[in-house]
Amino acid sequence: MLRVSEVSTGYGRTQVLRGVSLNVERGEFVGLFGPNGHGKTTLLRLISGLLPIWDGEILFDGKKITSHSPGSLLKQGLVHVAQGNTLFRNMTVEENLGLGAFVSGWRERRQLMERVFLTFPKLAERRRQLASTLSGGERQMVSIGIGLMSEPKMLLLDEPTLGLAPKIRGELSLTIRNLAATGVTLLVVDQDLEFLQLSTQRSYLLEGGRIVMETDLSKEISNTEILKHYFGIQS
Amino acid sequence: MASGLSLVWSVTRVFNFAQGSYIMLGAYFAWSLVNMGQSLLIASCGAVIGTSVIAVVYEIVLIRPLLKSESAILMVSVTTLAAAMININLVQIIWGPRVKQLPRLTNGTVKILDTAVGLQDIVIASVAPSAILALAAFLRWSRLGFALRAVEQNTDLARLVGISPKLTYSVTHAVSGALAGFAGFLLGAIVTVVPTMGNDPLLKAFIVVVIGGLGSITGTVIGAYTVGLIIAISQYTLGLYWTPVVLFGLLIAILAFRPTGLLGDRK
Repeated sequence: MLRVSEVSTGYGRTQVLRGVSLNVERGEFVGLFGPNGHGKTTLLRLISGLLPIWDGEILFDGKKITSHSPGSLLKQGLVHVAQGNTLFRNMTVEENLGLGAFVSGWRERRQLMERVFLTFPKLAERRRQLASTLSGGERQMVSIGIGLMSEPKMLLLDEPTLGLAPKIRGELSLTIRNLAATGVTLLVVDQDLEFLQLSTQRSYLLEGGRIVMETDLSKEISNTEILKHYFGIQS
Repeated sequence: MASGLSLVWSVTRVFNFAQGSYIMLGAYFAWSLVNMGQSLLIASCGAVIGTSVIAVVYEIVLIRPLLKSESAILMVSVTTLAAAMININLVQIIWGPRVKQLPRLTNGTVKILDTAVGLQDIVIASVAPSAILALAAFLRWSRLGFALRAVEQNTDLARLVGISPKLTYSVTHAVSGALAGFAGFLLGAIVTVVPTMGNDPLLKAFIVVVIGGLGSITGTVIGAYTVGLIIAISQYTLGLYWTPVVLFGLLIAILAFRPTGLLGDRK
C-alpha cells in the first residue's frame, strides 16, 4: 500500500534521510523504531507532504504521491498523526474533531464524530471542553481522533503513547490494536519495543538516516544486532 | 479597524501598517462612487470590496514572500509602511489634493442626558459593534472561520488536516482590509477625507490592540471603547494637546506591566 523508495531529505542544508526504503502492505501493522534524532519523525513528515523531498519516490495505493500536499493525501486516505499532543488548544473537543473532517466530510462531521466517540468513550463525556483542559491521555486520544475523522485507509502514528502513564498507555495501545483489526493499515513510530512486539508483524530500525534492519520483533527482541544499533551496546 | 489589525497579527504573526491607508482608500472609493451618483449602500459595498481586493494584492506581492525570513515582523512592518506611503501618494495623484467629504448616513442630533449627540455618531457607535459581532460569529461558526483559527493555533496541524495556510493568510488580509474599508466609509462622513486620514485611526487602533490584547476580539472591543472614553474624557478635561500624552502614557504603562494587553494571549 505504501512504498517508499530510496528517499532522501533534510532541513536546510542538513541531510537527515539517506536513501530510505520501506514497504507497508495493505492491512499490515508495521513498526518503525530507532534512536532519537535519527530521522523517524522526518520520514513521516516526508511521506505526509510536510517536507520537500530531495531524492527518491513514494507510492501510495500504486500512485505516485511524492510532493503531494497533506490535504491531497488525506483525501486519498493517508493520514499523519504527528508527535506530541498536536491539537488545537483553544478549541473544544468537538471543534478539534470537526477540523479532522475539514477537507473530506465537513457536512457529515457530526456523524463521523459519533464514531470517533465510540472508539474513545472518554472523549464523549468531554466533548464541549477546551482541549487545553484535558489530561495527557485524553489529548492524545483527540489527536488520533482527528486523524480518524477522515476515515483513513492508512495511518501514520508518531509515538502515540509517548509520555503517558502506564495504565493509559495500555488502554491506548489496545485501542490502536483494535483499530488495526478493523482493517486500517498502520505505520507506527514508537520507542516502546514491547508495544511493537505485541502489535506489529514487522518493524524497521532506522538509524543515522538509514534503514539498518527489518525484523519481526515478536521473535527476536533480545537480538544482539538490535541491542547494538538501538542502545549502542557492544556485548 | 483594531480587530483587523489583531486578526492579521494572530493568524500571520505580523503587523500590517498599511491598514491605516486602507481606511483612507475605503473612504475615497466610497466618495468616488457617491460622486458618480451611486447610493450610499452601493458606495459602502464598493469601499469594502475595493479595499479587500487591494489588501489581498499587497499581501501576495509584499507580505507573503517575506514571511519566511528571519526578521519577518520587522521586514513586514517596513514594507507595509512603504505600502501605506504608496497608497497615500497615489491617492493624492488620482483624486487630487482638495479635501472631500462623504455624505452622512443621517443628519441631525439627538439629546441624550443634556448633551447634543450627532446621529451619525450614534450610528457609528452601534454599527461598529455589530460588525465586530459579525466577525466573531464568522470566526466561530463558519468553515472559513475555523480555518483561520486553526492556522492561528497550530499551523502544522492545520496543514495536516488539509488547510492551506497561504489561502488562509489571503482571507485574513481580505477580511481585515474589508473591515478597514468599511471603517473608512463610516469615518469619511464625520472627518474630512484627505489622503492622510488613515494615520490617526491607525495609531489609535494600535493603542487599542496593545491595551486590549493581541489576538483577542473581546479585548479589542473593550480596548476600543476604553480608549474612546479616555480620549473623550481627557480632551474634555485636559484639552487636545494633553490627550496624546495620556494615551501614550497608558500605552507605556501597559507595555511595562502587562505586555500582552488586558485580555491577550500569553505570547
